[in-house]
Amino acid sequence: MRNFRFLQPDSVSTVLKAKEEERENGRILAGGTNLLSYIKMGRVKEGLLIDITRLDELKQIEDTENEVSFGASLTITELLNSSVVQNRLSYLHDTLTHFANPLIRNQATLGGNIADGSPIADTIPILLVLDATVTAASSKSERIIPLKEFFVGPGKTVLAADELLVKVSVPVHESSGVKMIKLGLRNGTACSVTSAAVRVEQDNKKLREIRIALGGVAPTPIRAYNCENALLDGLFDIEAAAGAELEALQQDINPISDVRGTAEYRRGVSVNLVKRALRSAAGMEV
Amino acid sequence: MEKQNFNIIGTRADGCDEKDKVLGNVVYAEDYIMPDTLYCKVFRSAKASAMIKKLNIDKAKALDGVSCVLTHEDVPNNESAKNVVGQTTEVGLLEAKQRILATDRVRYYGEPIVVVAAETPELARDALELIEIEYEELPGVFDPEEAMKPDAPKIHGDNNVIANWALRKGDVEKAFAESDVVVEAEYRTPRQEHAHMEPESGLAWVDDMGVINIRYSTQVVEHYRDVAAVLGIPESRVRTIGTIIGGGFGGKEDLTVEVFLALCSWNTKRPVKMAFSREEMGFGRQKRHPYVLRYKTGATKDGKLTAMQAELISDSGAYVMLSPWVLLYSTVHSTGPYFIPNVKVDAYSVLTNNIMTSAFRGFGGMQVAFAYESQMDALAIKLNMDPVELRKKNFFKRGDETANFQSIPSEVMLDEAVEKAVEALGPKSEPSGKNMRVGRGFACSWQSYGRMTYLHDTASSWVGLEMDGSAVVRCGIPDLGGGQRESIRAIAAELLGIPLDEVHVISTDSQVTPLAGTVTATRALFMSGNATKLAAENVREVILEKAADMLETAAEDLDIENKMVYSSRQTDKKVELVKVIRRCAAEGISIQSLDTYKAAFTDEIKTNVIKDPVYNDWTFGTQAVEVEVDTETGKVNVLKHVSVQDVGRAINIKRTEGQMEGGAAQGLGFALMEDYLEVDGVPITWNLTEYLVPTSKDIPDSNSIILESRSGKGPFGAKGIGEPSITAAAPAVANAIRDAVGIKVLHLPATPERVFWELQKKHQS
Ligand SMILES: Cc1cc2nc3c(=O)[nH]c(=O)nc-3n(C[C@H](O)[C@H](O)[C@H](O)COP(=O)(O)OP(=O)(O)OC[C@H]3O[C@@H](n4cnc5c(N)ncnc54)[C@H](O)[C@@H]3O)c2cc1C
Repeated sequence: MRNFRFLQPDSVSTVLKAKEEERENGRILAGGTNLLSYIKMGRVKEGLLIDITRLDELKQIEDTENEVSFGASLTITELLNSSVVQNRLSYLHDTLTHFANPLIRNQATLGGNIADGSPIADTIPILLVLDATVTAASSKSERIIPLKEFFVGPGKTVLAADELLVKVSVPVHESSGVKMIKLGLRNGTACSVTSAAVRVEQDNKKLREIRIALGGVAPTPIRAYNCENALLDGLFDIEAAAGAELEALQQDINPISDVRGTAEYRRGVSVNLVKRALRSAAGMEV
Repeated sequence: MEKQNFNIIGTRADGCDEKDKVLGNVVYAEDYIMPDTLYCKVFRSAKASAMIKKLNIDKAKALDGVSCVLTHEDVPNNESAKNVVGQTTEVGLLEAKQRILATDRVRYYGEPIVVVAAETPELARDALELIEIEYEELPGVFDPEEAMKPDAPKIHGDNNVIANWALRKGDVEKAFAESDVVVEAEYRTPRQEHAHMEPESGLAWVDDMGVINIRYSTQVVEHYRDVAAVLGIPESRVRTIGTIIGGGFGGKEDLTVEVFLALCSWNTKRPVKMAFSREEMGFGRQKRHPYVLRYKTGATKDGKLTAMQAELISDSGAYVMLSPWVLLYSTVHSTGPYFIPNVKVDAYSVLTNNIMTSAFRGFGGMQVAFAYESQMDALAIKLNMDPVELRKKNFFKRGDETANFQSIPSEVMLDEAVEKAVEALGPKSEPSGKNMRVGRGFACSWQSYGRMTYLHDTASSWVGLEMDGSAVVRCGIPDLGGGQRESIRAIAAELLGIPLDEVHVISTDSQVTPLAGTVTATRALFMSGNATKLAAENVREVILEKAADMLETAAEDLDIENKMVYSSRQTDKKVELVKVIRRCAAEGISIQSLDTYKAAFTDEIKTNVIKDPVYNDWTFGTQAVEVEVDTETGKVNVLKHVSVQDVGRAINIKRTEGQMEGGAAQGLGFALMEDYLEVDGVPITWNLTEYLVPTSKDIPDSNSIILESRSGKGPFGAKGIGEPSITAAAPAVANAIRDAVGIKVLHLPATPERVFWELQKKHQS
């Protein structure tokens, strides 16, 4: 038996009030590309569906000097079409072109991708290397959470039962090179087996700052701190970094075997993805 | 005199439904609805091998809005009546027949146990959730080679091997000993899912004369016989009506929704509707047989094949379905399109607790093609010989004898095909990155068209002219999406000299259209095309004779074009078709004809060793690809694809290309990504998120080159193309990967992970 109710609120505050009352039972319905499949599979059988797709408040893009902020209900297509994304965050644009397919991109939201808490959500690794933050709101307060502290486990985030993810803020790193690579088992509409994003700041061919993040190699999307530190500690020049064996990466990742690949494959291939992303971010031959 | 000048045949004429398909206007089986319709759903096994200890349907029955809840006890004849679906000729009996609803034991995950019908689909789903079941698990067997062992758990009876075929020609031992080179390898192929866009679906109702009508998406109109047998009612009281089909590929050849629909509408006397969900298409229906193939092939140093030995083992799943026939097909085709003097093949189909396997485009031809064409490239490498040259030395020629001692009755245009395919790849592409490698490969194939000749296949068609010179064709051949209906329309229009849009084809209604058999086995054009040609020629002859009378000339000199009967010798001698028709009507001469085409008939095969002809004829072709292998991830991208096929005669160019492109795409999926995976019989790729078929981004624009030998047994020399279009794609990809990075591809699909590990192995050695 299914038992759903439906709410189409006219403001964010109505959403937050409903969340306060319903808590876990109040299910945010954004694009529904995940939620509807959970319902179809019988994983979710009841509750109040709160449709947030028509709220303009959650569809704003704020473009400031150091940071761009995106409302949680913006769809992937809307991000792809945004001139801010195209011009100031072209690497994010590049990443999003590999997201699902046009039909899903028209539906899927940025907030839904993050709040879903999937270890293979495709916007996360690049947002992690960009040091993105998310804003969570409840009827009582609002807080800013660094994305790297947002994920707890598969499908689990730090969002409280009465909170809504309202905004994603992305610092603009004018002088960084950024690249994300997604490995799927086919070219169109594929879940990632593993994905890797790298951001590098270089100074005269010397590596000054590096961020590495991966999807699909641990219970949550991760930053590869060991690997980042190993590269920086070595005071590598950029060429050496690109050629390094990246052994430290193996301490950062903890992949499982599943239908899309074995843990061993993920261990092997994620090194290569990081290297390739690094070469690309550093402007070297790919 | 057979008509020679064509206005419609061999053109790119549009059919009546193409545009509507693109626009979404075509009415498919699931779109039909009647007042008071009930919705039907099936409760399926959640165990791969178990006894049913307890089954309680009381709560489901008690739910408001549920009209019927049926178990095996409600099915008059619970075992599917025949081994060969939709076939009027009964052939050899086998155990392991499919049960309509499980009795006390389930043998695969997804086996139907209970069927319910309710006022809404949601209520039907809720009713399924109220069914209580307790299982006692039985040891299962999931690997066919394990299942062949004497102490393996038995699926049915006392032997899991349900079919065994063999070829024996010459002396392979001696020939291998005398060969200059011998290559040997073991190959594995995946369990491919048909993944047609349209799910199995239909609507059934009992009419005011007590006849069960079933309007549904099927490749086999004659399933009404199976439905009648299950219900224990006369065949004349079950009527099947076909619809335009949104893909089948063999998936709608066995029984699908028709028996469930019939049971529920018979019990409730209300219209009942059902459509498989995408997940149910995964775990509730048959797939392509996974094979293990062990091949040994020998040749002389100048590249003449000397001997081939093979062992083929197919996983038939828990019920027999069409496994023995698929295996027979593999066995005969296992040599490839090559003359080999010494052949020894042993083939087995083995029951397991995996999902059932049955018909799928290629019907056992694809698995062996992967092996025999990989062997050919392995030989070429060992002989240091151009793989094109090696093949050219060994291709069958017309009249050559196959390893089942059957002579090739038509042209073999493989020399041209392979040359054109390789040439059409054009200049080699540059790799897209420093760790990318580009390679090329090709493969040749043969596929029979038409059913096995001992099935005594026939097809009937009726053609009649109207008073205004338009025409109606009645022929019971469902249009599977390949334009089967359009082809017979073109044939009738061409022979009667009338425009395409003045011919209407009624294509599938078992009580209205003469039976024309299944849309399977690449037989539709061959059989229904020939039947329609016979009937149309009969009508044409009547018209020409009457016109000859009227024009005072010889009928042989006359032809019809644009509804005008004219003499090819004397331009002034002509008369409007309509006038001839009126004269016929006035004189009581029938301008309608029902005729039946018979394929070649042979005796039933009585021994495991196949020593007699089994097929009508073959289609030969080549596919070539260029691939790029990402050496860092193992991912393979197909950059270019060419298919060259001798189709005998293309009745419609566009639709022939459509088959060639579609077959190639499905073949590339088989090569690179498609595999229905199970862990101990429990599926793990039962939806399209995990079961991957190629998208438009995975398939390059395909170059389809049509050859026309006009030597086939179909109408006007046509051969078949539906199945042959798929066969050579996978070995072409495997050979191209080897060319790119020097690894052997022995296990399909060549997923990134498999290629990655082969690359690591090569790196280390
Ligand atoms: C065919 C297909 C292909 C796909 N391909 C990809 C792919 O390539 N890459 C990829 O990353 N994903 C992919 N996905 C998954 C999915 O589309 C994405 O994760 C998408 O971004 C989810 O967004 P949504 O708006 O549809 O979320 P929904 O399904 O509406 O919501 C997902 C979850 O997040 C919660 N939620 C949504 N918004 C908020 C919010 N503002 N605050 C709090 N909670 C919220 C919902 O309650 C729900 O639990 C695919 C899905 C499908 C069906």
